[in-house]
Amino acid sequence: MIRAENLVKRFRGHDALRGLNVNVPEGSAYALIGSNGAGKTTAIRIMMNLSESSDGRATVMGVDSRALSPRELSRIGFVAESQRMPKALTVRQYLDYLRPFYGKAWDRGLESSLVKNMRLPEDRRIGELSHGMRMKSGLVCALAFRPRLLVLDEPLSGLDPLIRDEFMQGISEQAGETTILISSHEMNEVEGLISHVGFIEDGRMLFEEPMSGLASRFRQVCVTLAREAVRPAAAPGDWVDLRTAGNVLTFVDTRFSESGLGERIRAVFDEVREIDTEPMSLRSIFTAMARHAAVVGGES
Amino acid sequence: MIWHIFRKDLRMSWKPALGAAVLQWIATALIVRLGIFPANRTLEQVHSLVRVTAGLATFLAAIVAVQNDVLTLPTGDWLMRPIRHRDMLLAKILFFIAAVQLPILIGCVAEGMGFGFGFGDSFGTALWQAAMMTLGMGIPAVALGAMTANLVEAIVFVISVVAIAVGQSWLAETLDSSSRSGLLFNLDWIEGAGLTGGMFVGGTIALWVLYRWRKVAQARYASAAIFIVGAAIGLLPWKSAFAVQGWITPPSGAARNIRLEFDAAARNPRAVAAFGDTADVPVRVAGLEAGTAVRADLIEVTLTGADGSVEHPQIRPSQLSKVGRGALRIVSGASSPVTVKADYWLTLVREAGHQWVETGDRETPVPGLGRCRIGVMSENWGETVGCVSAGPANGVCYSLGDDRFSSVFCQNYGPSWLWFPDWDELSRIPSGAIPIRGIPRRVDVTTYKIVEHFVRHLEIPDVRLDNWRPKG
Repeated sequence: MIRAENLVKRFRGHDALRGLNVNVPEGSAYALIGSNGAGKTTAIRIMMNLSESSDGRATVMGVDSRALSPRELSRIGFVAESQRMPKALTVRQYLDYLRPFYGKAWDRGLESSLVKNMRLPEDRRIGELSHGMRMKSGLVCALAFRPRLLVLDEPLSGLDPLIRDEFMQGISEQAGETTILISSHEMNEVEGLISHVGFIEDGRMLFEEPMSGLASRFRQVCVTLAREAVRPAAAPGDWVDLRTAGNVLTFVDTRFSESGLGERIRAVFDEVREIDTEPMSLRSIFTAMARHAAVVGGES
Repeated sequence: MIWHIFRKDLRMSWKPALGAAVLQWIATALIVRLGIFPANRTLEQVHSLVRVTAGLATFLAAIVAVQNDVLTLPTGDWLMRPIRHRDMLLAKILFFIAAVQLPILIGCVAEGMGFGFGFGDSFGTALWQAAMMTLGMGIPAVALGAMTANLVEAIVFVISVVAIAVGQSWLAETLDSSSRSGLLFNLDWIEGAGLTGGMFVGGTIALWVLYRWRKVAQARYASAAIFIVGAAIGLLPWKSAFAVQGWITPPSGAARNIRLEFDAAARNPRAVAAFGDTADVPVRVAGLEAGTAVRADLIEVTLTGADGSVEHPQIRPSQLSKVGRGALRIVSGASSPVTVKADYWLTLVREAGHQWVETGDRETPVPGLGRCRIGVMSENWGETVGCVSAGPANGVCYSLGDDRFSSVFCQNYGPSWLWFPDWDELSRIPSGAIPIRGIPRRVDVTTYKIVEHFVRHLEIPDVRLDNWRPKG
């Protein structure tokens, strides 16, 4: 549905993207995660033709992103934290304004249902709405025409838990028929929604894969030793975020395999008393990988 | 969808549009109330202020409407909607025409009718004025709105444009004033056309670049460059301007027989207030047909002494029109004989009509000038002939008090004035008609049409300037 190849974006004295590759499969719910300044918003803006890349190219629904026309845009829903909607119009007036652009694709029943479920004050001016209400208005405007592709750029930032739930519920109801690309820090909220994840750091894609593969590949490993734990001089490269506390050593195994783990650990440590492994949440994976990236970045 | 977008903009931005219209209507009511000869100076100043404010409000109303759908930022919601950029652009232009310009047009029609013109004349002129305003102001305003993200940015841009205009004006003043085209008779249109054309062309290109490719930086640079070029046209050297005019209006042959000659038999000049070492060398214009006159726009003079010394005396602009009366005023202290070489850039005009305008409240129609009457414009200037006209006066020229001709181009119904004394002597004041305080009872206003611009060379050997200095 979306494919970006070798995207580069240079600002003055700073490379925001350094050869980013993204592949969002059709029908997937793809989370683009990364720390602040990793390049998520820049990448999405380029893929949506809101910004121009310095190099590389992106295609959306098979069309070069630079050539996205009203035909493609009529099938793309877009919500961004920084989106500027007309403040002087009420929610109702804006919905009335947008409807004709989408023709028959606009589902008035769905629009009414979304407005009701999200408890939007239709007669309030958009400029008078809270940030959360504005984001929900944006979502209604992005969902009412049943888009083939829904792109959400940091949609949950600054929203209170209640509004987050309502927002995510609105998205979930569309997940089945729409390809979703979402960038967010809020891993807990999006984890139940997404099928694919891409981890972006410092303008590059560190990895992208289906959530099922990610969940089985990452494990939090806790090793209890007979004596005080010391960070090994040469640990395997796929062990990241190593920490020690007393005689306990923890790390994240990024290529977890149940069968060979014990042997690999014993090859590094003597007197291993106990090995525990735990599946990791998306948030934990993100945190561990972000720390690891920071360490590697610092060393390099 | 153009109409649909326009309706949305109208809903969002009707207040600034209405504000601009109300200001224009107030200005209209004031100018009609003031009439040809404003008696109330305070009201006149208020009118000037309201007129300027209304212009600014009109400009800002257009910008606000464009910025409802911001183009320069990647955060504009409409950029992710299935909206054709062409439709968006046309909707913004439509907003300027229908929501901003239409109320002003109605005000202009009312202004024309307030001055006593018929609906047809008033509407035709208002329509012409609206078209010019759309091209010269609407397109640049829409472009400025599209190039900027908010009003603050737009105002910074406006200040930059004003700074360029002021800089251009300062540069023009700094440069030798006689080198500028704006001083030339009927060639000052080049300066105005440069600025307006720069605004229009720059705005059009910017809009094309913005709504076609959304290249903001390129649009800004291109429009700024074109505007600066347009402003620089105002500094066009007068020889170049003369050449441009000659290219546009090729010689008709009417000036073929006109010659300038030294009038050695002329009497010594009369006593006049002179500046420094002046000498009025008599020059005769020969070959003029009846009903025509010649006006010197600029003169370049070189004095060559017997010892080979060369002097370029100053020719004061205020002397330039006097060639028809027969004197070339040279400011030079040379006492020994010199050879005078003079190049004249001339304009030939032909009488288009006469009309007596009499003192009183009654207005007299003068072909090419509109309806005129005599009145007191200000205490300083005494009585003048004031005229109002509907629409352009079609190239007819008349005299102004600063001894220059001026082409009449009435874009609105604002009055034009003929000042006295008329140093060009194009408006004849009969000697018997000046009974009180130098005020004429009636004035014969003569209107002229420009026939041709041409150049003549005059060489006078061995002239002793002392012989031609004012006596007494």
